[in-house]
Amino acid sequence: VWGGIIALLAFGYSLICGVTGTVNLAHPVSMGIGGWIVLLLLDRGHPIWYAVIGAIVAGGTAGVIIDRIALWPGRARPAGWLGSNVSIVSSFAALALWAALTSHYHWQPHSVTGANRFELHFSLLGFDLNRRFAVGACGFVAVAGLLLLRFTRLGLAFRAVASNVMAARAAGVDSELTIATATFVASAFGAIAGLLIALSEGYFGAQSVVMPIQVMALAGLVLGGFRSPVGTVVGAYVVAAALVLPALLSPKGGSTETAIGGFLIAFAILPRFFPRGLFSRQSLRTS
Amino acid sequence: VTALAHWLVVHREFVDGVGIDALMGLSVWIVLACGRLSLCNYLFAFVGALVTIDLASIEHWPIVFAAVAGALSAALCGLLLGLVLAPVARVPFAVATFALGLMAQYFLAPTKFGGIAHTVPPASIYIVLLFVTAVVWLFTKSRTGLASAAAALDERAAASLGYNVERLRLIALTKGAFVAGIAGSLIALHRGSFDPADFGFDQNVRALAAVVVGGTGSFIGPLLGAALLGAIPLAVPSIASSRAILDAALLLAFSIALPGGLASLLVKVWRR
Repeated sequence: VWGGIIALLAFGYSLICGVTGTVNLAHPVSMGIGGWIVLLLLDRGHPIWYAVIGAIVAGGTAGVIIDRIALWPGRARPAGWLGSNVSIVSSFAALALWAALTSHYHWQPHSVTGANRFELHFSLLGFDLNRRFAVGACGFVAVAGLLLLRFTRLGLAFRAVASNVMAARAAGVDSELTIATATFVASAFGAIAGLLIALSEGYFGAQSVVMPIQVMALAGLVLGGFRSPVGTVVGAYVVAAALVLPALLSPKGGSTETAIGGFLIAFAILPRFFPRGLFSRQSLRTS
Repeated sequence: VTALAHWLVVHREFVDGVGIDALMGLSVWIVLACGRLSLCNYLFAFVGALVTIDLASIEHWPIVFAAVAGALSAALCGLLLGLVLAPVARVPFAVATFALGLMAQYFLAPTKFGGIAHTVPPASIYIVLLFVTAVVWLFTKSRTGLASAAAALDERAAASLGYNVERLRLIALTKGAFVAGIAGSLIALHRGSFDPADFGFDQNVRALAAVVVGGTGSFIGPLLGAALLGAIPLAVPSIASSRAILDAALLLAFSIALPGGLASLLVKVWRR
């Protein structure tokens, strides 16, 4: 379950990174909005499919709005005072603003179906029907995303912009529209991750869920390669396995120290020796 | 003088907060001036505070020695992180430090502990800030400081001139961690205890906001930014409860609309 959910978020990260050339740290906001909207609509008595579609559209739209407000000015402006750090600063600011707003206004809908409050435990291994659905849905969406990149005209446009934006423009590709579409698709994937968590757990805490999963998705991104959608999906499952395996192998369950060690390896040591990730050859442009 | 002294006593929380934020902003700026964005400087402040309060309250060290030990511990952490991350490119560097900072918030936060009888006087924060600012200013004028600035603008050009760019980044990260460690020690000594709530995501945002709002072009930027970020809640007390929103909104607004910060605006006005 965790591998699938982390993979959906990490896939979106790598898609945006591949097309725009920088990391959008505010990407998980779409996950938060997806999880929140689906519970809100269900809470108000709407059918589940309306709630799901509403959550995906809202998450995708939020991603595009954030991109236009926070990231586009940095792309449009010639590299200056901070170079590629401009987009990171503005996306970090957008994430911080969202976190501050959700925290200040206690932006959490009531839980549905009376399920327990969701907390992130490394030893969560119990499978019920909802979680099986989540596993299947995550796998289906991840494969659909990879097929979209490989076999559709839209995927071809993404890859063209990722490869050489000027050449793509010369060939008639609207690069800004392609970036906006890629951001919508990536954010919709994030929203699906959020709504799957919300539906399978019956609760969605804006920060208590989003921030830890963001760290894991970034670990998957670092492991797999910043611009490699295939690599990040694999990296996400590796991260999830690294978190869950100690709980399986150790009679006492997974420890915080083990998790910290795993993260330190992912974030500190791997970039030193594999600055482009383990799957850098499978970048977006060659997907 | 009496009125000023009274004002300082009444608004001690504001005055101390600006000093600490300015130190944290300087720690971020030092790394930024070498071309890298560190989003985990509060992790170093956390280490500095933890070591300081542990040595002062449990081992009963004199508070000056405890503070120096805390700052050196933070510098050691910065050095270790720098040994690993110095060769890494801009984006992975920022992502790695961002994730480390978030991770620290969730996994490395012990409960509030410690308690020392004598806290430091408010003036000590500004004496330290003055000293650190002077050292940073001297560094920016030094050969190594100029090489760092050159590396921030164009790494290949700096390397072609014979400078070891990775070593410059290692120095910058260690120095930034040392200054953050000093800020952490001062936070702990100011409160008289260690509270993990002082080293969260919001404080990290404020440190970066101080740099971006003030201006990244000069070490004066973090000082200006910290003063402005502290002055707004003082002028409009009704928004003091939503300070995290204000910090994030200003960070976003300045990074989009005025990336040079207030300093660039002041320079423009001065030239006219």
